[in-house]
Amino acid sequence: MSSPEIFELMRTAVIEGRTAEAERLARQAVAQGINPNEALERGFIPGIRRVGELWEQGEYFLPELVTSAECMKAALAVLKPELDRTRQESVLRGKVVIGTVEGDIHDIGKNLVAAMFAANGFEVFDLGADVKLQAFIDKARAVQADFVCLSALLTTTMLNQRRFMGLVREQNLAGSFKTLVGGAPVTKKWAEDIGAQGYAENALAAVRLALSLSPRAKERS
Amino acid sequence: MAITVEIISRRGKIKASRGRRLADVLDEAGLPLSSYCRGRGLCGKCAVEIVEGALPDFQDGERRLLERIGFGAKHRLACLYELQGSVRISIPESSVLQRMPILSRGVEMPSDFDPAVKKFAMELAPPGLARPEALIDILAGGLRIPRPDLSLEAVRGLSSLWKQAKGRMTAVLYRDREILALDPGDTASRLFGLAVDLGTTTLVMDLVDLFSGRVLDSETALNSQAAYGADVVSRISLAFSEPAKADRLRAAIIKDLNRMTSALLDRNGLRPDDVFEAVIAGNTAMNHLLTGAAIDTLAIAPFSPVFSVLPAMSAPEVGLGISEHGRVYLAPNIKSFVGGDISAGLMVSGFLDKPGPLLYLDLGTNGEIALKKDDRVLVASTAAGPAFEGMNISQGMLAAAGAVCRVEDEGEVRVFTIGDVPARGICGSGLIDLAAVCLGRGILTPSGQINLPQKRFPVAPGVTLEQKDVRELQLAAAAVKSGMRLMLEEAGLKASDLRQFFIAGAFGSTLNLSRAMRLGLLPSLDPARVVDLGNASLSGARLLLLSLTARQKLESLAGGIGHFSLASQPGFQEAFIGALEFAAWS
Repeated sequence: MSSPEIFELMRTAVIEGRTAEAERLARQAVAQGINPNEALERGFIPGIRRVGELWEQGEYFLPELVTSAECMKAALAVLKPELDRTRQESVLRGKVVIGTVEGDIHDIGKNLVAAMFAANGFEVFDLGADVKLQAFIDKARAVQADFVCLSALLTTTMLNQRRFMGLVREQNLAGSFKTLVGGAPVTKKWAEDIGAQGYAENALAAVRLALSLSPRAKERS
Repeated sequence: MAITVEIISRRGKIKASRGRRLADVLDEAGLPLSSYCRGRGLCGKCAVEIVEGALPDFQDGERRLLERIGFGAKHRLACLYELQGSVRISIPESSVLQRMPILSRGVEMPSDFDPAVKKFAMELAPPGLARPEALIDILAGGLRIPRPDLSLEAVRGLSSLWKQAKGRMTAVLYRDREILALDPGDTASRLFGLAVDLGTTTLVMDLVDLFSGRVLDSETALNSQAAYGADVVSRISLAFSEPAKADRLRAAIIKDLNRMTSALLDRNGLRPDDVFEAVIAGNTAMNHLLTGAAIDTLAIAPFSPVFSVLPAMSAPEVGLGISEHGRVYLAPNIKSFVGGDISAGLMVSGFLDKPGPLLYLDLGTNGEIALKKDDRVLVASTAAGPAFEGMNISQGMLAAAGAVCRVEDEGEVRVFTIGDVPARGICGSGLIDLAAVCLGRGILTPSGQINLPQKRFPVAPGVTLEQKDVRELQLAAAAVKSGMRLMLEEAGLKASDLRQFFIAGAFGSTLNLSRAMRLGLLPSLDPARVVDLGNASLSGARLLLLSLTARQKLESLAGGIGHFSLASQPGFQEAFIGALEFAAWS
């Protein structure tokens, strides 16, 4: 099978949410000696981008988004070790530490954002729900994260996003990573008020925002 | 030798033995009489006519009680009548224990009439030189209770009241223990209570005659706290971040309740002094905001309330404009956000008594679910959002004139509005109908996509259903659907195992069941098993106002109800995403 053909199949598999097919194609690419970066850049990632468009047009909804993200996860599970093995510079666009802030246990939205980050080639460290604010900072320092994403689904727990920005300033970490905030009650204005670097309304907007803010992503695109 | 009790207009004779009380004999034979005073000979509600048999002398106050209700020399109070020989009696209709229908629709739940607050008129002999008893002891003797609780204020006033009333007085007795107030003369039949559904959006208040048990009047209003935030969480957040705002929220709801109370009293020619108890059923957050209990612990995980069961509070302390000696009782909160509105509903629907498996669903901004298997009851709260109330929908509206409320497939989509006027918007039940009909016609796919090029569906002139509206409905329905599924799964049950499925709340009453089942909002069940309770929170408040037994039972059961935290279930996300599809339960 020629490369353009397999890339098109990869794209379609992601759009149609066929996980087993995505995984099979990733293996086939490895077997055929196709560059894993190329498989991602020309096959899978254009697929997830199309899914994003369909979602924004209202054709796709959360279930489709989730299954397509699953496809990406399956493909990356095959391709990532290959990238590491061949010591190629990764296509990865940055490191994201993400979680739902302490006091809040809602994490479906956060999980979707994490999945879309991963699907779009970011390295994701998902700390889960009800995460202590300092734990975000510790993790971000340990992995040298580019982004820390804080989710809050309640107007009450949203206040912890502001507390987090306070901690960042206290510990002189402003500039070492960018903080993005989201969640049902969160607004762009809130993000500005508390001094966060960005706000995204949904998972796709979060990825777009990170891409526009990421030095690594810019270098590559 | 055995003696018998024969009742006119009833076959057969009841065997009894000498020295037993007639009321007890009748009760054991399955013929309970009214027992407002619990058999102390104080209320006169168990009068029977002794047609044949001994007519002993009247006991203290017995003649007066009988005369008051128009009975004569041949009548006696069954609770005071000791059998000395066989009797033939006639039982007046007014003496038969009234089992009052509490629910306005659906199942009729009978309740023994036994309010927490009662009035008893007495004629008390003055203390004599031979036995210079304390006035309080004479009072206690008249009430036939060992030692009443009494405020210092009442103690101070007792002597002058005694002089004024010449021993003829009426006591307002709370839970047979505490004297709330004393009136000169006989005011026993002038006693009222309030039953309140304290909703996030809507308030309903019933005026109840606590002497007869009848609901006299009802008043509805919007909760003016809504000006500070439409949903519970935004109000919690306000009270949490700015304590001064908590005071304002409290003031707002108290003002609402007092305005409603005044309206009811005015319309019925009553005074605040005539009302001695209000029973309020509200969700946990509303109860906290009403009492002024700090809301902090309810604002963040693990969302624990300050109180669940609270002893009745003094009305002036709460700020409610009923008698200054009156009480305010809150239906117990269960756990976390599942509050008194649900506990009251569970009690009045019989959910707590009936054998399981049972499911109870209150559909509102928060969808509350209770599941019973064997003796175990679990409750959960889901954030359904306000889509069912027509909010978050482009042209959504509350169920009012002009709201599309019903949709039929008549070869084309035909819509019906409330009041039969041109459509102005879509209310919750209309949205469910519309989605189900569009699904049936292929206008909507099971995944929720509007299958038209413009991604919107023209419902009526000037009213359209947008793609985003369908998404909101999917999210709301999935929250409820996945919640029920996870709870059933946890209990090892299938929906088909449910003996009964209770739906509470105004929205539930307007819902077309088969449409809701088609979308999967409700499990597919035989409609005969689905019970529409209407405003179960209000009915529950009424029950708790009229029956101390129900109140005590609920207090003892509420603590044993377990909480199921949906969001922290490992399978929640998968269940939620899976539930977004419009599909009947398989």
